[in-house]
Amino acid sequence: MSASLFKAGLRSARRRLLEGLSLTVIVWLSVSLLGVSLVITSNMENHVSSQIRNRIGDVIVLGAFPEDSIDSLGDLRGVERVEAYKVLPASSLQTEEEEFLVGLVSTAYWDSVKVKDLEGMQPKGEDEIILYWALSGAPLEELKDLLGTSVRLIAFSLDGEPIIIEADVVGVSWGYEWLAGRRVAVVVSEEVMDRLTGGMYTMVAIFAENPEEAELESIAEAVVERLEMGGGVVVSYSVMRPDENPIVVLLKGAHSIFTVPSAALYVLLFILPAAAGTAMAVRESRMVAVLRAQGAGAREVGVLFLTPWLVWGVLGSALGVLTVLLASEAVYTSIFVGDAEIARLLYESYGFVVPRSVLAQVSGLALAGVVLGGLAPIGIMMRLDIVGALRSAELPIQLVPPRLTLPTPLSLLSGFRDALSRPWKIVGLALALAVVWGIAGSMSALSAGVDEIIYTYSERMPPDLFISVESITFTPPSSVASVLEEAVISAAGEYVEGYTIISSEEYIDALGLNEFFTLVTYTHGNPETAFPLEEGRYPESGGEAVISRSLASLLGVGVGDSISLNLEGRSVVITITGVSYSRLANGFYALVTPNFYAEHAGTPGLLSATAHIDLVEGVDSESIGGDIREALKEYGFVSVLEVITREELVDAFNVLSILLSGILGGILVLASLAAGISVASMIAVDSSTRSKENAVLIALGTPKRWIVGGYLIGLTIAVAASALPAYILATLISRLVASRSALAVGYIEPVLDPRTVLAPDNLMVALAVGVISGVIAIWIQLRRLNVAQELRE
Amino acid sequence: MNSVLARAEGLWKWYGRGEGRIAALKGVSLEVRRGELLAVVGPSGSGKSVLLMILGGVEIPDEGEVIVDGVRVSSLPGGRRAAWRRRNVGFVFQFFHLMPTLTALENVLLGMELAGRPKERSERIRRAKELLEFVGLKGKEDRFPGELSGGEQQRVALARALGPEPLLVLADEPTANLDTANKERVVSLLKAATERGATVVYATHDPSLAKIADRVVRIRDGEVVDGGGG
Repeated sequence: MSASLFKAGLRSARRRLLEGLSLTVIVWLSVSLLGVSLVITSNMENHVSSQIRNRIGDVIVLGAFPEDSIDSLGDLRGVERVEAYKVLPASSLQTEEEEFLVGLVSTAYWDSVKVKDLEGMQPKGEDEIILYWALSGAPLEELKDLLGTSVRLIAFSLDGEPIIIEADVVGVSWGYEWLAGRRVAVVVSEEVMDRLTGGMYTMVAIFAENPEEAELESIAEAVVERLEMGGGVVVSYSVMRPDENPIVVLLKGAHSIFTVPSAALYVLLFILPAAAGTAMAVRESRMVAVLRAQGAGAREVGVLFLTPWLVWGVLGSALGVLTVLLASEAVYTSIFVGDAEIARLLYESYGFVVPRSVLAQVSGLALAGVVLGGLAPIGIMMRLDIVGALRSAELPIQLVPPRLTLPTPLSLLSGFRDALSRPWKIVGLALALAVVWGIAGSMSALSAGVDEIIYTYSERMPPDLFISVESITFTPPSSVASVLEEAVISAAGEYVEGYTIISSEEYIDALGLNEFFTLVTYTHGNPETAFPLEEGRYPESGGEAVISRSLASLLGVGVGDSISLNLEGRSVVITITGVSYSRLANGFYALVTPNFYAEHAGTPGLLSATAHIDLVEGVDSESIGGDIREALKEYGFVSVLEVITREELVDAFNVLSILLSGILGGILVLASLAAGISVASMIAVDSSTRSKENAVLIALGTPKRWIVGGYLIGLTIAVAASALPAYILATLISRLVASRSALAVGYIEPVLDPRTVLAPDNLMVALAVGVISGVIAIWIQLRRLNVAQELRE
Repeated sequence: MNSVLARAEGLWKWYGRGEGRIAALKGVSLEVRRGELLAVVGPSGSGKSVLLMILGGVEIPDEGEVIVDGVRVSSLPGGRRAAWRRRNVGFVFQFFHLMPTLTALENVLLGMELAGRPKERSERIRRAKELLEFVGLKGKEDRFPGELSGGEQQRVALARALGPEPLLVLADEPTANLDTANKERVVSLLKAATERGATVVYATHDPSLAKIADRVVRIRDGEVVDGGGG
């Protein structure tokens, strides 16, 4: 019997073309969107971690190492190979118009970079350089204009001696990797590099034999010991475990902006078969009654009703998998790599893989949703009154409409009561529309979060100007923070109302929230400029801290509470003495005392510092920033990383807001399309169960727009009912996106006020999707309705 | 003799295409007089239902025309035909086809509301109650169709058809789904409706139910075999 029913199910898949195609399109969209997002994330993780490993190995040791000490590493146990390079992480490149903080690498090092392109030629003498930049991030195409020009390079030898090199840019190069820890690097000849390093190597990359399982800490300690025994000076070393790569964690967070809302589409895969299937169960209940009268059980009925959904689900899934296979690489190349030649080299070096596990995951999940949804109506069919169904001329599942009434025409009242008497239809429509409203709501919640930040920095925060500086030598003659304070006072003292000079250190996952966390202290000025307090007081002793408002909100902590931090393996407990509404870096920070900071992150202000400056009202912050930059040039060992005005900072947040809205808006369009198809399909199936009612109304002369109006009442009720699931979905999406993207774009505290999430604009989106798709579906059904035939049967 | 209310002239109706095309009506002509109870009798598949649908303006003939009270119904465009139908035709169907989400009273009101006749709502309610009493359903006004028996539903359908006082009441096999007692009751009501001024055409495959009619038209294989003329 099951084999016959399976065959009947297959035939009915062919017959139910509309709902079948709807499901196919939705499965296709869902699988494609989530699949492409996951494949891109997976490849980017692989490319970034591979290129980082290619550059710095599994253990990186920085310092100054004679050749002999490098040779001594050859026979270390567990070490596959050792690569030593001459690189300097910070030099200042000055053109006629601009100054860049760049890394400095030798041609040998640049040659070893796999994924790069070159315009021009390699440097042959001491006065020739290549300018290299990594493609990731904001475009740096304008650097191509420097080809053929003369530049000035200010570097420091390992002894701290300034060396100025006037050189011609003979080549410009771009690639996928950062060199010497910088996005922009200058490639110089071996001779120049030897002058700077005294022939010493400055970086040793250790490649372990089996990095997944190797005791990398032990290897690192053995390497350091051998290098020091060989006369090398070790400044620092780091172990890079594949699963702890901060960039990879960051990418995962960034992609959650795509993957989390895309996953929301999967809700539709359950809803459509469940809601439309239930309507079909009503429509075809007499057939079910006949089957059950012949002894068919839940399994047989299930085979008959599930088969068509499964057929269409498998088709949609297959199309989705095909799209993932065909589109992932092209999307990745055009959006994330941005250069076809670099992409070709990148894939040649590290491959582009569509993981089978991702395909299995996205298609399996889709089919599971379809099957679960398809099973939902089976329960209704098994509760059918068989005798009643076989005897009745009407639909066997009789409705008992509510006796509620409305002062509307009776044809509309009929639609109203019908909507209330078929709760599964309302639930199905409401959930489908909740996906749209929820994604739109999450957009609003996150945008409102960014707006809060914009408001804070444009209206509430005191600083008008932010200046970040860094030493370009490891052995600066004085503290960079002191130099910065001197420059601020000398260049702009009379215009300054207050300032805070801070030092900060970034940590990955210190809170266990998959986040960037900043440990910060202030060395000069008054903390009130950079960290205005909302409540409490500033830290006075070690272990006390002021934390950000967003962190306090997320953790639900306040003044007097303690939180635990993991600072690179060291567990530290801090007590909250105050909360500041300032936002620093990615949103999570703890402002601690300088001594506490020194204990965990090194001497504050020695090599880098940032000034937050509050200027007298009416002063041109850009001009003052320029003056301070000029003053800083007096200190040759300091390079200005950034001068940002309040307006520029606010603009950057505006760009973030637009970017976020753009991404979520794109997903919203696809979600609207998918939800619209679901709604249209549900309405079409529902109206087919009511084809006789519609035929009677038409025969009696009811205008079709009145019949459509009856359905619109149902849709309006569904939209109203979708408010709660929409709010829940929006909360889930925005919280997940906010916390998971904290690493990438910073923590954006979503504003989950129902008035924001369920704003009229978002309601209108859901309403428009519901009404447009519903009206189209009903109108098509009414046009195709054969009134005479319906009334005869 | 009463005047002619409706006239069908040379009606042809085909279904399907190509070689599978079937003629449901083959040049049918007939007249309906004002105030009469006209029975269209024929076996299943003879074309009775199609004829009624064309007379009521639900379907249009492929050839020929229908003129009701001077209006060439089959020439009216869709929207105007629907508007004409609202005011001038009442339908009773074999399977009752009441709106399941409206009560008995509301189903009767629906026909009047669509026709806009009577104008006052209070008058419509009064008339709907009076019609339900006429068909023997007093006290069951607030019941939904699902709460009524088949015979009761058909009587509600008849009351709905009579509500707006249409020119023509068309009943397609109104007794086919009823037991003997209800059959006779419904046909009696159709007769009573003509005594109240309605013109009723009903189709039936049961010749015994045609006895009560003022006039009988016999139809077979899409052709009128007896009684088509006035």
